[in-house]
Amino acid sequence: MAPGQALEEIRDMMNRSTRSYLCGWSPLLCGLVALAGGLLVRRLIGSADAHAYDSGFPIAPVCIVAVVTLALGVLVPFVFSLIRAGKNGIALSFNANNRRLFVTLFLPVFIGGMMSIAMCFAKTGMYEWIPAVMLCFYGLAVTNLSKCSEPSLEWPGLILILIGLTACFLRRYALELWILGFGAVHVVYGVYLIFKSRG
Amino acid sequence: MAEQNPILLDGYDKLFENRVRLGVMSVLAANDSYDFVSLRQMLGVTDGNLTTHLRALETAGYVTSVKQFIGRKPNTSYSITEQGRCAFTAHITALSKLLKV
Repeated sequence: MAPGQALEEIRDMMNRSTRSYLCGWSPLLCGLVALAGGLLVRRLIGSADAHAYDSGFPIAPVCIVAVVTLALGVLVPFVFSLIRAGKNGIALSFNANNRRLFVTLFLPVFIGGMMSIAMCFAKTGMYEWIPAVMLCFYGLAVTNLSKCSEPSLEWPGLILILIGLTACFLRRYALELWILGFGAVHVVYGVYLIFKSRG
Repeated sequence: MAEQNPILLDGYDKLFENRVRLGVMSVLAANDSYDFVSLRQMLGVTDGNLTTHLRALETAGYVTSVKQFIGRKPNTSYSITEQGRCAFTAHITALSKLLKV
């Protein structure tokens, strides 16, 4: 083996073998944020019809809640992980492995997010499709993430896709399914991870 | 080869010429410990093959193993020794020097 090739192989092995530990508290906190945000939107919408545009649908407040929920949903687990890593003396590094995890998760999420934003601006009342798009893209991202991180992520990923597809057909219950997917699935998976790491 | 150019190849370790042994050392250098099954999956080799190479590294004093039970399943995990880390680092340095020639 040529020296260059050997060095390349060493680097690749060291990067690929470094495992990322997923702790249950992150999905749990993220799920609680999603539950709170989703239920708040449910209250805001009340009986407004998501299908008809311009019929008193409170788009502005809903968008504000959505942005706050998204920000908290990402920030709260992130800050929590930082604190936890600091306590355990682990430096949070943006190495090749973490970069790959980041792209695997956020590329589909970014595309889904862009589509959702486009649907917010659509004049033909596409709101009812937004939860389905978010669930499907996020589900795909999580399913793919299972291949380079925690293998048990495959199940919540597939369940999210399933809920997303259900939301495509049962659009009347889209928001409720969103709460189920982003809230309940996160919380259940988080609790599962916590118990798994203890047992 | 070492006789031809002893200065240049200082630190070069014959034991790491094999792909599997080099892979094992890379994985163990980057992780506190690694279990047998994960190591096998990571390197894509057979049980017997990996066992042979691990034994060679263990005999050289580069890796240590801990056998334990997780529930009822036997589990062997490996980690790099101080000596192994020194040898591996020296080997990498030798390889980089070779590249620059």
